Amino acid sequence: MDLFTQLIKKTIKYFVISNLLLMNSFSCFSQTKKVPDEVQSQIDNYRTNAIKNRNVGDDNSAATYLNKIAFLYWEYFIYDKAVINFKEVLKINQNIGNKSGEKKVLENLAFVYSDMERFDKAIECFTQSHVFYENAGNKKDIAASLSNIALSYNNNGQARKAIKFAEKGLELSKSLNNIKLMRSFYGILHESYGKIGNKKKSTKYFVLYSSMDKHIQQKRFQEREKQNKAKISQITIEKDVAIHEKEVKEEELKYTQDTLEQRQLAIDLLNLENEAKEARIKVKEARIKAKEASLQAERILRYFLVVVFLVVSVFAYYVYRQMKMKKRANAELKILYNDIEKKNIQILDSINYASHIQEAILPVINSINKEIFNSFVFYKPKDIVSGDFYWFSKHEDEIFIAAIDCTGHGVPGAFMSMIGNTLLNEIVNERRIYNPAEVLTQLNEKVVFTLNQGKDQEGFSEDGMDITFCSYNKKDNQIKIALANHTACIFKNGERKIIEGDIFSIGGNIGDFNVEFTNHIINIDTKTTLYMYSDGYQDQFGGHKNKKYMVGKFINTITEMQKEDFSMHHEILEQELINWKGEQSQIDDILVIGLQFLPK
Amino acid sequence: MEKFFIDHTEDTPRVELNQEENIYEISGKSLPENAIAFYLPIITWLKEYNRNHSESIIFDIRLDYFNTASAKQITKLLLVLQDLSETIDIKVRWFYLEEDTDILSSGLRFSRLIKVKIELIVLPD
Repeated sequence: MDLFTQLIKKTIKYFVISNLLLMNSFSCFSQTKKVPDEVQSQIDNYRTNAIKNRNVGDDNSAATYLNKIAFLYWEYFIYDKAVINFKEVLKINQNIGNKSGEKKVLENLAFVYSDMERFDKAIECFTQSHVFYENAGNKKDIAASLSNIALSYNNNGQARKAIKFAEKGLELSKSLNNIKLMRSFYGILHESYGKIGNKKKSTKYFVLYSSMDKHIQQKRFQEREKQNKAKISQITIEKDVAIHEKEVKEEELKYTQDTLEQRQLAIDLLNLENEAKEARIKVKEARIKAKEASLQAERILRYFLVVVFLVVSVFAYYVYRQMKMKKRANAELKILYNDIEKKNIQILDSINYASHIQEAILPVINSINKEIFNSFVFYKPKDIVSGDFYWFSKHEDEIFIAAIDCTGHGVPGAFMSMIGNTLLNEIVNERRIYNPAEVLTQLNEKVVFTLNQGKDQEGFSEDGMDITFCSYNKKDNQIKIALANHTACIFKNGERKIIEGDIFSIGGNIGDFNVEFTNHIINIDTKTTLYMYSDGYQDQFGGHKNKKYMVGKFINTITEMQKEDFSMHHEILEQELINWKGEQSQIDDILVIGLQFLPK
Repeated sequence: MEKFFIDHTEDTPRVELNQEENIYEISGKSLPENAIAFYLPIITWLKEYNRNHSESIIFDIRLDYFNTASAKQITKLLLVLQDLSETIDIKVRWFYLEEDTDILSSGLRFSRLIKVKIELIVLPD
């Protein structure tokens, strides 16, 4: 078989046998083969089923299983067994009157015979099946059936018969304008005319076949292109659809996003609202706080005012109480003051009265003046009563004058002065001791005795007195002076003489000294002025530097005042003291006695 | 011994007695209303003086005025020092202003009456 024949055969098979799964180039070889075991077991299985169905009378199903067995054998090139099974199917279909099945089986048988190159048998089968197509009246099927018959005749070497069926089929195909069938017939006619030697017609049909084949190829190509295009367009459409869908989805996404954004916006808005709300609340709170603060401030102010009020009240109360207390205190003080003043007055009255007593014992200046040429007593007690005193006595032609400074001043001094006065009276007036030194000695003894100052005596006191004792004998024209811890000053013709007394005091002496006093004798051969004094004047503080007046200055003062008349001396001393003392208080009792003697 | 100190007033002197620092001094004016009461604690302090402590005492008296009552108490004070001088070397320094012959003569008088070495020291005016 040449290549051309094979091609036609293939084409026909492709067109006619749609059910045939496998149609290969080996079909022309008749081979006896065995099917593989698994296929055989499947075949056995089909056969069992076919027998089962046949036994139950289901011939149609049995035919189906047998048909399947036939195809399996055909597939594995076991043609005889395929034919047997197809024939059984044909018989069943004929029995049950299944014309469609009969027609199909006949065709399959024809193809199996063709593969077996039993073209006579194939022609027989195709011819029988053709009857069914003729009866059915489908022109295309009839034409296809005719092409199978024609091809089989051609293959069987019956060229004229082949041409007869082919021309008949060609006419039908032309009427159907079925170019594929036309091409088949042109091929068969080209071959068959070639076989009978009609080259002209053979060539003519080959040309027709070729052009038809070309046309078919083109059409197929076009069809494929069309299909491709369709596919492309479909793909494009799909793509568009996909794009669209994508867009839609994007849109949706966007929408979703927008929605989300909107929601976010809504949320934000909500948040904003919330914030605004919160802000409002805060503002409200702030207002409340401010209000509270102002209230607090008011409260604080109120508290402050209350506190201030309280403080002021307390202060006022305190001041009031203080005032009250002060008033009370003042009242008490006043009472106390009155009391003290009363007492003071009493004391002062008492002292004042005492001072009368003291004054009473003091000699009258005039009585002294009667006895001597001239005299003065500058007597200035520190207090009302004094520790300083002066004493005067007279016996016949002798007069006795003493300037005494008792320890202490004021009342204690006054007490001492009373003792001194009494003792001097006793010694001079009663005991008639006229020697000044002796007077002082006795005075000392008596003071010691009076004040229990004796040795081994308890209650030893240092109290006593310093004294200047002077006796003036008119007849002898002489003065005798004894001084206990005193000095005196004498002026004679303008000449000054300081009389240093003994270092002993009257009373309160210390040590084992033999207390003895010395008489200083001064003859009045000229006008003689004697000054006797306590240390009160010279001890007075004053002056620019608040200094002590001092004995030197005092001596200078009495020396200077010698230029003045004696009658002026009292006043000079007084004025000098006032000037010196200034604002200072008097420090001690002051006593200065001035005596002026003239010789007989 | 506890130290003894009284500051001066208008009519009482400043008194400082300090055994530890060896300071013994009376200075100022002495005209107390009650001289005995004022001088009693000073004299008591000196009477209780711990003889074992010091080998020597220099007692300074810098008075520019003392009344007769004070003079008696100063005498008493000097007598206590006289007792102490039996075991302790005692020197009294009696200060006086150059022109204050009162204080000088008082000093002289005490130096004659009391068996304690009294050094008279003149101060410039």
